[in-house]
Amino acid sequence: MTFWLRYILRSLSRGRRRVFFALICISVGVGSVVALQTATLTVQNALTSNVRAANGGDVSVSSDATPLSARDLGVFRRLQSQGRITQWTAVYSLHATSVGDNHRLVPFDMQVVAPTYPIGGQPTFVSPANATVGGLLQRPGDVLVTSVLADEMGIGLGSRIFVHTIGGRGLHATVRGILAETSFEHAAVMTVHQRDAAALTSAPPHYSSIYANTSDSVGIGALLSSRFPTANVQTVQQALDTARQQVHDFQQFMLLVGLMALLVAGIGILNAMQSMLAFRRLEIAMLKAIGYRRRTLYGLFSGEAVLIGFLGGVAGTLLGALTSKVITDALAKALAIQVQFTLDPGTLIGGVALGVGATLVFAVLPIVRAAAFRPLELLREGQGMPTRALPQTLGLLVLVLLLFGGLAAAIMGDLLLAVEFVGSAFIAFAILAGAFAVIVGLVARLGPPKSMPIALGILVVLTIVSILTIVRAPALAALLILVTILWAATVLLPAAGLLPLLVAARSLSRRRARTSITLVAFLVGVLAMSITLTVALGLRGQINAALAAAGSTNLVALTGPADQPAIAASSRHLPGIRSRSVATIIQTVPVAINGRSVSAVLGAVSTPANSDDAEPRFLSGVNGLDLRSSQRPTAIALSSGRLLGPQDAGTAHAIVPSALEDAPWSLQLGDRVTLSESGTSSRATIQIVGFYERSRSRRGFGSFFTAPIFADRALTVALGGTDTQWVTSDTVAQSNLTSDATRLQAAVPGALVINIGDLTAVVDTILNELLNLLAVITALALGAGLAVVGNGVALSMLERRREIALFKAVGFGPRNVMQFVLVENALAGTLAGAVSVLMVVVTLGLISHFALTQAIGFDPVVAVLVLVAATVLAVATAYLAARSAVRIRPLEALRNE
Amino acid sequence: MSVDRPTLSVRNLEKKVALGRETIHILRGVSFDLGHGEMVALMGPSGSGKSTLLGIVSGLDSPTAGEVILDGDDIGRLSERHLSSLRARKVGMVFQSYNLIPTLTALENVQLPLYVPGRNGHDPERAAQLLSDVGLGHRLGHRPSQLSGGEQQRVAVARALVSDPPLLVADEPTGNLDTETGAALVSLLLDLRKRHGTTILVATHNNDVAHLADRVLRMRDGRLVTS
Ligand SMILES: Nc1ncnc2c1ncn2[C@@H]1O[C@H](COP(=O)(O)OP(=O)(O)OP(=O)(O)O)[C@@H](O)[C@H]1O
Ligand SMILES: [Mg+2]
Repeated sequence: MTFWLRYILRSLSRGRRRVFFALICISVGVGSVVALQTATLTVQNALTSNVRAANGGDVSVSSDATPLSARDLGVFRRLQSQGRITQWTAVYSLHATSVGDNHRLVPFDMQVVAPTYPIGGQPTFVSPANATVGGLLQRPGDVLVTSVLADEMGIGLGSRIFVHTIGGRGLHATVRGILAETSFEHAAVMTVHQRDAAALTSAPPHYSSIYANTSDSVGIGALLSSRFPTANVQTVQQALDTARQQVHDFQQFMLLVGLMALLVAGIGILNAMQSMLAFRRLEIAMLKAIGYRRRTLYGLFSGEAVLIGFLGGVAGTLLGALTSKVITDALAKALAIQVQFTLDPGTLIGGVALGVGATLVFAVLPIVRAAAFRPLELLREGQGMPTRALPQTLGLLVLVLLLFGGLAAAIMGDLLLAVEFVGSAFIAFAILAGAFAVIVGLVARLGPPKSMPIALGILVVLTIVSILTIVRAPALAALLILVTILWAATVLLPAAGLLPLLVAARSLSRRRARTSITLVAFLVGVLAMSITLTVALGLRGQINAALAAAGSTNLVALTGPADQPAIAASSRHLPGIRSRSVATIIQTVPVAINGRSVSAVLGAVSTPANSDDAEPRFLSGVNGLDLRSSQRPTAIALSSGRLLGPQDAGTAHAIVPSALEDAPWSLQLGDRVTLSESGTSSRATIQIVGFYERSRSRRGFGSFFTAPIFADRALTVALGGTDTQWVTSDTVAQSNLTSDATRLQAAVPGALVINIGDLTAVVDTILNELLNLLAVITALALGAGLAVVGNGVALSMLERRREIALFKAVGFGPRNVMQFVLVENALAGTLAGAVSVLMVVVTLGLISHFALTQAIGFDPVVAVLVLVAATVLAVATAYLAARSAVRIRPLEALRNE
Repeated sequence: MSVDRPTLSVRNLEKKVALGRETIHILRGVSFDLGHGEMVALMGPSGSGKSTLLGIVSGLDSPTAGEVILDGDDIGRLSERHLSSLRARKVGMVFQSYNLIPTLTALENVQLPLYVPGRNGHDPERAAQLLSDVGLGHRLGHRPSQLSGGEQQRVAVARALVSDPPLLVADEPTGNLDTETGAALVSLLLDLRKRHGTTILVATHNNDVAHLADRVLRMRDGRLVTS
């Protein structure tokens, strides 16, 4: 036993350079998983530690679509007097806008709270630390904002802003506290004390959330659910489960990223082990000639792998622990949550185990191959390895996949997801590696042209095509120009100048299998980088442009009946106004269908009460159209029945979404639906004359400001009274949009003006958060990719010692040799960059074609940046990895091997 | 030589190798016997098939047709697993390049065959004894890189003999050595044969080696030719 331990240790120390490269790859892979796991655990703690405060109390009742009226609160008073709940508080919400320190008009939700708020414990504050809601909301105008809203408006503690709500006078507000996010929802919310409510609205309160404390969460939860069937009732336990589920999904995603890095790093491990064992092939053949069996050799080499894996696991865990702080901070920023960083001992131990496991998994292929070296080679030394059977290699790959799948399943605790991930990653890797093999093969064929005229002809054609594509597809042109330059080099350069290029191309293709998978590993990193750069530089402006062009309506003003004339007057005189339409909206709850109560109708079809289909959102509001003057709903398509026309003016005829034709509603033409207005509780019965569907292609932001039912305006005004919301949709010249929006808002303080043509503020915060996340992913993927590239170069340097020595023996200097190496890797880096540019171009093309009305092109600047970065990174890594190798003394190398 | 049962008996040995579409016929019906304790030299021009023949009789390669019986075992019929164990028990091998394991010391290299799983009961002293028999008793702890070519080859010989195999196969063992060192190695082989009764088959281009052998087998184009 000690004999073999000694043998293993000495083998490792003899192959220490290769071992070192393997260790780097293992550490990067393990480090990624450990870091991401730690980061997500921290996030999980942050989101689940204060869940009672996040839920607002033991039980929360929220009903955004059909808010509760003051009368509905009687239930809570009664429950409290019966002693079944100890405390309760109601919150109502309003839509609001305000111009932030960045001069942008930002829409958000305003929640008005009672002095009793909060009853579930204090929320987590980003700043000031350890504050309380009551302590901060002391004077009129004091408000709290979520960190998301603070970002969108560019405001901080002490900022003073003017808040607009529908029908309000406007509120001069001072930001007193910034709240941490409690979920992944990115809520832009402002909290204000109810003493300021008078400045915000004159309408009766529509309560959107009620919180209650009780010792019997389950019983009270059930009771409230049946009392408010359309509301969402949630106990702390349910909130915790929801939070856990959300974090779980997020954690799985981040772990997939970590596994991706591990997979990429695995390629490096595989390469290093392969090289290490191939280097010893005569020794292995000797062991077999002496009579050692394969099984013994498997054990021996596995022992080496375990040792390497253990060391790498320890190094990786350290690395992961160090970087997890950085990643956690980035994640916390991306998710706008407050976190407390801790290292979990389980994760650390798991990291070391992962190092051993992953190394064994990726060492399987080289170990099995090495144990298969035939002892006969001893007799036929120098003849090279016998060609291996393809089926065996494929079988081994499948084995590696299965093992890695097992590892992934163990890490994620989800077999199905692991199988999906490993399967699709393998297919993608296989396709890409195949493509690279073909390309590398083609590049290797480059050489001095046989026929100069034809070569020149091709060059001219390539040049012309590249120039033509510059106009149509600049990103593709960048690639074509690259090909043209390469071709021009082979055609025009003298043979001596061409030598490095030829040597490079041939060396790349000689180890085609390894080159290809190394390139795939690098590609993953470069691709992550391309996506990040695309988002950072290109997508932002283009999304805004796409949004601006998506619908014709770009400015919406919401008002109560009192302010409607003022808005009508002001918007008519906006400098940029092109067209204008007005509609009314009221909020309703369905009460009865053809005289039968809704709960009886829904109860009869035994659908779970809270299921999505039963949700009454399809009947939760009425859009009033000016039918007398032939106003028609926009962006809808009739599926049955008829549209509304002037003859319907003054009637209760209505058209409704076609989804209501299905169970559980099963409505038909001619059915009568009784609706109750949420604020006033007055009722009306409508009659269905048509069913419609929203046309998909024209679904823009404008559709957020409509309700599901369309009927005559008179009906809505009669039902809603002062509660009726007037929606003025304007189309304004793009150049005037920003100034017109602020002008309109300033003219009518009691209106809610939303500039939907410029949601820059919102898009920016979302993109910035996305960028933080992408930056983390890029760093990991690129780090792993570069480790593999460095590893690959260093290994090929070790394996090509003889070749390098020969070059030097015939008179090349170390600089020449380095030049060969650098050209080779520049070629490889450019190749990976080019393929990733191509992939992003194609993906963006597909997205623009299928998901957006507007095409999103790929920024040629990004294309060039990616190409340059990929090349520079590959060359720099190669330089570092090859630096010492090119200095070998030829005599030494030629004698030793 | 008085032989009841030959240590090695080769009958009608054929070896063909497919190279692309061609088939190369390397051995064309080779038959011979090696008696107990005999030392036989195998000679012939380069490419005549000597190494191929040695590979087959030592269980590293398998014949296309024919029979190889080594100490009672029919090599042609053994599975890879049994071939391994046959090599461990019955054949010692010495190659032109010494093929020592660079990370192990001289002593450890010689001990190596004793660690093959399932092969216990061997005297660990034997390795050291053999090394001093080949004149390297004072170099036990040295690594191959610290030994000269001749010394490395002597370590290889000791390693080949450590499990006391009935047959020692050597492919051009003196090929990398100067004449004197080569001659010393051959007399070492003769000496060991006397002591252990090992049968020795040695392929060589060296006439001095052939002179010292009991018998010379000559090969040409995959056949044995009578000398
Ligand atoms: N695996 C193989 N594939 C193709 N040809 C082979 C193979 N093994 C041996 N040969 C051919 O068989 C012939 C005999 O080879 P072998 O190595 O046995 O010759 P040799 O007598 O040992 O020569 P030398 O004295 O040069 O060592 C040669 O022509 C060789 O090219
Ligand atoms: Mg030979």
